[in-house]
Amino acid sequence: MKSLFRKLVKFNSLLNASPWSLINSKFNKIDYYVSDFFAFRLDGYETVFIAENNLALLLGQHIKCTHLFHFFDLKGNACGLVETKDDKFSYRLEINESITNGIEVGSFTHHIKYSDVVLEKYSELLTDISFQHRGYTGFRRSKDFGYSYMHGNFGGLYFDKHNRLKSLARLRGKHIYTPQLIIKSGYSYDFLFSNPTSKSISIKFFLLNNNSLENIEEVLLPPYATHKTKLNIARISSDCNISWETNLPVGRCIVFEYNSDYFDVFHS
Amino acid sequence: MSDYMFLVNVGGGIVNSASLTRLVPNRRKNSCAKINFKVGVYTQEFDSVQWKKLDEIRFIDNNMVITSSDYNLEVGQLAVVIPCEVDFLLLGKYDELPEPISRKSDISLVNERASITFYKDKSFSSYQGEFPYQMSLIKGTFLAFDSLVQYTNKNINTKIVFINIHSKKLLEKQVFHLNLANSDSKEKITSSKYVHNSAGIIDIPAHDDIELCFYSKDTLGIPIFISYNNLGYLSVEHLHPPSELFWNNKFKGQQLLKQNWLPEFP
Repeated sequence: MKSLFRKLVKFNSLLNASPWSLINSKFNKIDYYVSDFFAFRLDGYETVFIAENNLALLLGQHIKCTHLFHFFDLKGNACGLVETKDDKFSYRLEINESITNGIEVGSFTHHIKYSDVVLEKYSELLTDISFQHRGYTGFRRSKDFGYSYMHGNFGGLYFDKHNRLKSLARLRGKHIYTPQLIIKSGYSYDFLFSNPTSKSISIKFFLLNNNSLENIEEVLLPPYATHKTKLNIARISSDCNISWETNLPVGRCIVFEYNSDYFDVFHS
Repeated sequence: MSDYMFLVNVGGGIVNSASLTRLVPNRRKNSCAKINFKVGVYTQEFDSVQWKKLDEIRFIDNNMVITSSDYNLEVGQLAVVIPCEVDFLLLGKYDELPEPISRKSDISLVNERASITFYKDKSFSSYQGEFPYQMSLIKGTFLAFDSLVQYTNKNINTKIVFINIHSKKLLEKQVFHLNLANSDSKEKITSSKYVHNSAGIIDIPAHDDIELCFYSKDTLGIPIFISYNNLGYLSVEHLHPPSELFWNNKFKGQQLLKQNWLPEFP
């Protein structure tokens, strides 16, 4: 009995640590290509995305594909779709408001379609591997500068055969995520958080200054929605840290650190 | 799973720092929020197989920042940052680098990273980075693509910095090659020499609309791309390993990909 109890406790711990659907990632592997959930911002920033052509990279030769980009607004509603054909190893998409239908901040996915002829030709190779689209998002504030890039960091999103958005990301018990980031006086911070799951999530942000803890915001994020938490320069009197509590087992977000002249962006 | 961090002198007046906190990076709500540890900082000179202690640092508050310019590193020389127990005796010299401790308080998933920041004058750019201990035990090979090379602005310089850490005992220092090639023709464009426990660095030459790739048939490593100009622009990011292109069977996918590319190169 004790042994069974121990096994159940261990299983519960493992389940709580797993960011993905256990059934779809361990036992019944899905046959769709999955995408990270990327963020764009056009509110004083420009955004570009470097999309990879996975089969071309696997084979080491150019392969024609269709890149599909689905855009979502802050509430998680679809707001744009881009379809483009290319055969190179990577494709660069400049995101603008004509693509997002005027939406300034939100999220997007990247998927790829290959023709039936291509899939048939490489069917043996593709029998037990499938692709994941991670890619690199670049942001800049001025045309004089280059972009600051960060790679995709979490998602597990796919479109099923009925073209419905599905997610392999799962909510678990409460977790506290603390990036290895020192919040510094003299800078402001934006934290861009996208919900890659099909359920609403609650996020509590708090600042830690040595042993004191200050709640700064609590938000409820609908499925596939994006939220921007701002930490203004005036609020930061001395170096401190930030944490957030969610039901995501790995609750990463995108961090913008900036002053009037410079900015930096990275995933947490 | 545990991780080293690193500092590197990449040249060009660019300084590198690593910020760590003793707050647990990811945990269940009721698990311990802090972990006590200190770090040892070690380097290996280009012609030596022995690790030499540069520093030993303890936390004064929740955070610590370690900077490359404090250690008089040569261009391409690494300083490896090792998280360890506070009562662990760090020796002055090692043949084999100590294994870093885990900074977790439960089994929540997380890479045990530092904020790796690069500075040039007043501009700065960072990413959350680490060098996994498991990678330091394997010789391996390396292949990466040019997603982070900036084409659009010819006034921007980009360099690839290839971090290679081998924690096991070495009998001799071998010379390796980090190569830059044309992805279409597979012809080698340029290469740079590096040795175990150093960084290979290539200043990527100006090129017109050709796709590039980077490879080493000698060792694995972590590629960091640093783009900058003299007007205050600096961007740093690392590439996903090729295994991240795959969802099912990541490592079979990576193996097939390398089999399709590496034999094509000179």
